[in-house]
Amino acid sequence: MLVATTAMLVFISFWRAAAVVLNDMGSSAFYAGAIAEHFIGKTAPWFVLAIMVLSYAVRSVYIESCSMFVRGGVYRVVKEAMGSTLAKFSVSALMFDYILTGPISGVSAGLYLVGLLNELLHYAHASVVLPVNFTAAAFAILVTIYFWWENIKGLHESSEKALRIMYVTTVMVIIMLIWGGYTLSIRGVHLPLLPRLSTITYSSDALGWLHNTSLPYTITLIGILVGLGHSVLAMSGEETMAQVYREIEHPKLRNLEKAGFVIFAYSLIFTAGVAFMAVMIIPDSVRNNFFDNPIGGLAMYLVGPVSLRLIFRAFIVVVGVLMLAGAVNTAIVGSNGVLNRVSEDGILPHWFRVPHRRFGTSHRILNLVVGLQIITILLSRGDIFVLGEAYAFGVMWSFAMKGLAVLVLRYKQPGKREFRVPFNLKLGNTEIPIGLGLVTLTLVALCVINLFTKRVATLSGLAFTIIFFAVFTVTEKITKNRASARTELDQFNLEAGDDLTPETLGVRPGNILVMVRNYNTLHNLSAVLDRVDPRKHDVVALHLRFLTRSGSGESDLAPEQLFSLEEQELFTRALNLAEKKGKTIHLAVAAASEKWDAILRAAQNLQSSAVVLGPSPTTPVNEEARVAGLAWERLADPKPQLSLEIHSPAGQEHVFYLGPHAPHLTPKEIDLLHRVWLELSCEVAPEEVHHHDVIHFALQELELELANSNREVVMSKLREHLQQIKDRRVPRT
Amino acid sequence: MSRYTRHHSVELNENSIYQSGENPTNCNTDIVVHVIYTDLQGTLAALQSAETLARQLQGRITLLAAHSVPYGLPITRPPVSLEFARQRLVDLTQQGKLQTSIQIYICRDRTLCLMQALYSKSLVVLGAKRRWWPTREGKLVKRLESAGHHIVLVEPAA
Repeated sequence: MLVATTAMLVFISFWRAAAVVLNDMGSSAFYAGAIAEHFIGKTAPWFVLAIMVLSYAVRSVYIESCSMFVRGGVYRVVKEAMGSTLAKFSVSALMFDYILTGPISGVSAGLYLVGLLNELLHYAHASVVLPVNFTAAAFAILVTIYFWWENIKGLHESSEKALRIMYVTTVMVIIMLIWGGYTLSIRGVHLPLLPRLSTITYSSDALGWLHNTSLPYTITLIGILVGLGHSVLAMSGEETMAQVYREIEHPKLRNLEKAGFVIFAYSLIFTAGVAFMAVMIIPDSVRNNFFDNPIGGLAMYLVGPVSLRLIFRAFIVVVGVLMLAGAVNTAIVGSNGVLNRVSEDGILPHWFRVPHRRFGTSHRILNLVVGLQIITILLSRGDIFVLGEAYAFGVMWSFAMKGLAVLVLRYKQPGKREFRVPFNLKLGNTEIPIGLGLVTLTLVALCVINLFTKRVATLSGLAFTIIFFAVFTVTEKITKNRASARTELDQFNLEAGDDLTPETLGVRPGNILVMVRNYNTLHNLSAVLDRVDPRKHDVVALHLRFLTRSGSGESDLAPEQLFSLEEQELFTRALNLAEKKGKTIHLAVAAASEKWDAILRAAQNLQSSAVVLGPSPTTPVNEEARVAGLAWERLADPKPQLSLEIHSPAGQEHVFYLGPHAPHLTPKEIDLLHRVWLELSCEVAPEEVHHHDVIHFALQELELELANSNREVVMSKLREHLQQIKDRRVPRT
Repeated sequence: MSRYTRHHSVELNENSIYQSGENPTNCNTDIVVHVIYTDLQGTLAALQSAETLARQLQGRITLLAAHSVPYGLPITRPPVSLEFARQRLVDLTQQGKLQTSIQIYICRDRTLCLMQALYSKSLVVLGAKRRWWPTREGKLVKRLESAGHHIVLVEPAA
C-alpha cells in the first residue's frame, strides 16, 4: 500500500483572509495619499476615495477570476486568456511591482522613523538634524538586508504575527478617527475642494510628457485620469486576494466576497480617511513638510498636549515600521514565489532554483530580487515620490492585464461561472459585459495616461519589463525541451506503508471513502464535498491501481510504479476540486487485483462509514451493489457497517447498506407495524410492549418457521409478496 | 483529539521516513519521545537526550519538523526545498542508534501546527539555547507547556 499526501489545507475564515490582504494593502495608506497630494494638490483625497471605489470594482474582477481558477495568479489567468507572450509581459510587470514594493515600503518606514527622530531632536533642542532621504534609504537597505538573510535561512514569521499587526493597526486607526474627529469638531470641518479643472493643481513633475500640452488643463477627463493615475497606489496589494483564495473556507466564493467587502470597508476608512484628515487637519502652510510621513504629521496637529501627541506619533511610527517592514518581506517572498513558478514552467533556467547548500532555499532568486531592490533604493536616493511614480507602473499594468484577461475569457470560455462582475447585457446569445468592460477600460486608461505623465515610471518600467520579457523568452526557448509535462501538476510526497489505517492517513474513524478513477468523472467526490461537514467527517479519496496477473506477483512496487503521471493528474484535479469547495481531502493510492475486495478492505481498515463511487460503465448499479454485498461477506470479522453510494454524473444517487443495518421503512410499513402494535398492546395490557418488541417477536417467529416444515409455505408467500410489489411498480401504460 | 480545526494553520503535509536503527528491547510503542526541530545543534542535542529518555522509558523517538510557508507562496512550495529538508533530517537522525521516525509538516503557523501534531500530554524534547530575551523557541515552550505537554529543554554545547 502506498499513501500519497500533499498539502492538506485547513481553510481560513474570511476575517483572517481579509487581514492577510489588508496587511499588504494597508501599508499603502502610510504614503499613497501624500504622494497623490504632492502631484495633484489639495483635491487628492477625492481621487484617493475614487480609487478606493475603483478597488471595489477590481475586487469583483478578482472574484470572477478566482471563480474560474482556484490558483489564479496573473500569470495563470493571462496565459489562459491571451497566451504565453502576454502572460510573460504580465509577469514582468508584476515583478516590477514586487521589486518596487520593497523599496517604497522600506523608504516610507524610514521616513516615518526619521521624521519622529528629528521631531524628538527638535524638542530636545539638539542642533543635530538627520538627513531625511539619506537616513530613510539607509534604513530601507538595512531592513531589506535583514529580510534577505531571513529568507536565505528560510525562516518565516508565523501568519499569527501578521494578524497581530492588523490588531495593533486597527487600534491606531480607531484612535486616529476618534481623536481626528474630535479635533475637527473643535476646529470645524472644511472638506477639500472637489476636483475640477480649476481646482487641480499639478506639481512640476505631475504631467511628464503632457507638461507642454494644454490637455490636462482643458479636458476634464484627462485631468481626472491624471489625478487618478497619481492615486492608484492606494489600491496596491489587492492582488493578494488571489493568493489567499485557495485557503478560504467553505462556502469559498461567498467568503471571498465577504473578505473583499471587509477589505474595501477597512481600506476606505483607513487610506481615504488618512488622506482626508491630513488635508483637513494639517495646516496648508506646513503640510508639504509631512508629505513623506502624513500620519505622523496628522498626529502632531491633533488637539491635545504635545506629550500625548508625541506618544501617539511614536505609536504610529511603531505600527508603520512593523507594517511597512512586513511589506518589504512580502515583496521578497512574492518575487521569490513568482520567479520560482516561472522557473518551474521552464521560462527561467533551473539554475535559479538550485537550493542553498546550507539552508536549502532558492538563494539565487533571492539574491537577484534583493540586489534589484537595493539598486532601486540607491537610484531613488530615498525619494518616496520617485519610487511612488515608478511603483504605479507595475501595479496598474498587472491590474489591467488581469481585467483584460477576465474580459477575454468571457468570450473564450463563455460557460457558467459562480460569480460574474455585475451589469451584463444579453443580446440573443451574445453577452455584453458592461461592468467588466468598464472596469477594464478604466484600468487600461489609467495605464495609458500614466505612460505619458510618469516619465520615470514609463522609462524604468518599460526597460525593466523589456529586459525581463527578453530573458523569459530566450530562456523559454532554451529550456523548452527540458520542461516536463508535470510542471502544471502538483507535486505529491509519497509515503509508503503496509496498510491504510486512520493513523497513517490522519483521518478519524467514520470517514467517507470516495473512490476516484478518472479525472473527468469526479462528480462523486464533488457531491460528497458539497454535503460533508468537515468538523464531523473526513474525506478520503482513494485511487486503485489495478495490477495485471503478472504484476500482482511482485512483492513490492516502487512509488513511481504506483504513482504515475495519471495518478498525479487525477490527484491534482481532486485537490483543485477540494480547494474550490474549501474542504480538506486525504489522498491515497492502493494496488489492487480485485475491485470490491480492495475497496471494502480499505473501508474496513480505514473504519469508514460510507463508500462513494461513480457508476461502472459496464455493470448496472444493482449488480454492482450485489457484487459489493458478496465481497462484504468475504471480509474478515468484525465486518463493518457501511453504506454504499453510487452517484451518476446526472446527479442521481443510489444508496445501499452493506451488513446489518436498520431498515428504511416506508410510511405504509410503519402504519402496518403500528396497527399490529396497537392490537398486541391491547391484548397484553397492562404488560408494556414497544414497536421494536413487535419486530423482534415477528422476526423470531419467522426464523422459527423457516427452520421447521413450514419453510416452503413461507418462501412461496414471500415470492408472492415480492411479485405483488413488482407488479405495483410497473408503470401504467 | 479532533484533528480538524477551524484555525488557519495545522498539519498540512507530512512525510514519514522510518530510519533503520536499533529498537530498544521490549519497546513500549505507546511511549513516544517527540523531538522538535529547532536548528542543527539544538536538534542534535535534543536527539541525544531523547535517545537516553527513550531507552529508559522503552519508547520510540519521533522527530517533528514544522516549516512555515508565508502566504505569498503556495503551501505546496515551501521556501526550503522539501528534498533538502528531508535529507537534513535523515542525516541528523542517522547519528543516533535508536529507530527514529521523522515527520515534516508544512504549515502557515509553526506553533499551531506543532500543537496540532502533538497528542495531549506528549513528552517533548527541544534543543535551544537559553536567552534572557524572548525567542521563538522560548515562546514555543511556553505555549506547549500551557497546552499540557511535558517539555524537556536541552541546551546544546557551546
